[in-house]
Amino acid sequence: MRSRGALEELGLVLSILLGVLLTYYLVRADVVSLTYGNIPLANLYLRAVPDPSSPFTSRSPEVVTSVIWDQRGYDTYFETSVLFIAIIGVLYLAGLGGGQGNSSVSTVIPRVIAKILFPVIVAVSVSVALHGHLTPGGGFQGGSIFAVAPFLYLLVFGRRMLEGKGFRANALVFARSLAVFLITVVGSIVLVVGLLTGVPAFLFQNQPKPQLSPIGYPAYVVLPWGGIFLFSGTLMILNVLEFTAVSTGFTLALVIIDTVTGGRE
Amino acid sequence: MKRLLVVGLSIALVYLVYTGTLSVVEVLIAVGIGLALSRVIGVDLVKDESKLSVRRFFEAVKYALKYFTVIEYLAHYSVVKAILSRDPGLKPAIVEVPYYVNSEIAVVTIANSITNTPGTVVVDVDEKRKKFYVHWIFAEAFEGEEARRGVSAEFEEWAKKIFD
Repeated sequence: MRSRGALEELGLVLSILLGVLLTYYLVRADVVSLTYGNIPLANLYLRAVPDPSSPFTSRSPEVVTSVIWDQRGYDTYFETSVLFIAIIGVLYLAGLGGGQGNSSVSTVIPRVIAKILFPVIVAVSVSVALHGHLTPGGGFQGGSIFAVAPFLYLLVFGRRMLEGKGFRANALVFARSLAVFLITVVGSIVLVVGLLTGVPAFLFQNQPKPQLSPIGYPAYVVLPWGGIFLFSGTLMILNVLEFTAVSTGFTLALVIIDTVTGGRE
Repeated sequence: MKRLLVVGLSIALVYLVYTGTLSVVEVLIAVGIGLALSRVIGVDLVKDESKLSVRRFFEAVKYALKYFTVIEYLAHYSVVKAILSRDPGLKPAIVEVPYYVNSEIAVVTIANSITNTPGTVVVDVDEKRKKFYVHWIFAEAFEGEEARRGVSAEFEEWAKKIFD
């Protein structure tokens, strides 16, 4: 109990320190000023979107909505489609049990197929997350794929089986919090090193920037047997952490929903 | 131990095939993920470790080769013939087919083998009475041994050799 209290205090101190650090940086970098002088892209959107004489106007004072549905509307359309298809998939799987209030355990066929698909889904999700810096995909995509595996187990075998595999609510909360915390750490290390050594650096900086900042993450390591392992600086690290945060987050949500609705034991 | 390795390396193979690259780092990652997953769900996939054997594996390979060439060809041929002929001779019915295997995975192997060949689809399974309910477009019998001979006898032999 004592060590847990100490951990909570440590977490609180670290959160406050991070907040102070972020505020200091934002003020120093002039991001929170009202002049917009150092952010030409934002300036362009803020001027062009509400201006009826501009070729890029949306005739709207709300720039964020305009960008989402107008300047990059195509992207938003496909995001919406993906969400739609995901919900159809969830409804389909949830409906397989058949009928309302039917708590019978599914037949042998979904039981065996779920067991075979579980490792396949997880292997694919890890591959999608680990190669996010090389091929389409990444931490969020991989994490979303991962969540399908525990969802199948939840539907076919019920929550107890899933908890027996280590997918317990407190473990999931811990993994998710740790991953999100480490994302902040990875994103601020270069800035902290810059502040300590008096070199200019940025928040969430990856590679060194010529003429702006001489420090940054390495892009690859040379392996003992001579090969090169490219991880693109923060990209692969953040993808792994994002994968952890998203997969545990989605699984947690499913477990909690199952708890609240009573599940199918 | 055998279970951990067999399941782990199978998962590693799935990872490598999906990833599509073969380097030392990828193989190490694949084996790591495979073994970790195998520790968590290995018991679900392999209930009886003593059943893992090279002989059963080669039986499975032999079955896969025969199923996806000869058996699939014959089933497709009879359905294509029925589609193209003036008098297709259809006799669609849902028939009751008994099975005698015990392990879950053998039951699913038979059910999938039936469904994957054109002309027959498993619509339900009664695990207590050990019966499949199969929609068969050329129903020769409605139940018992006769139905089993026409629908699943060969699949069951193989499933018994591989899994039971």
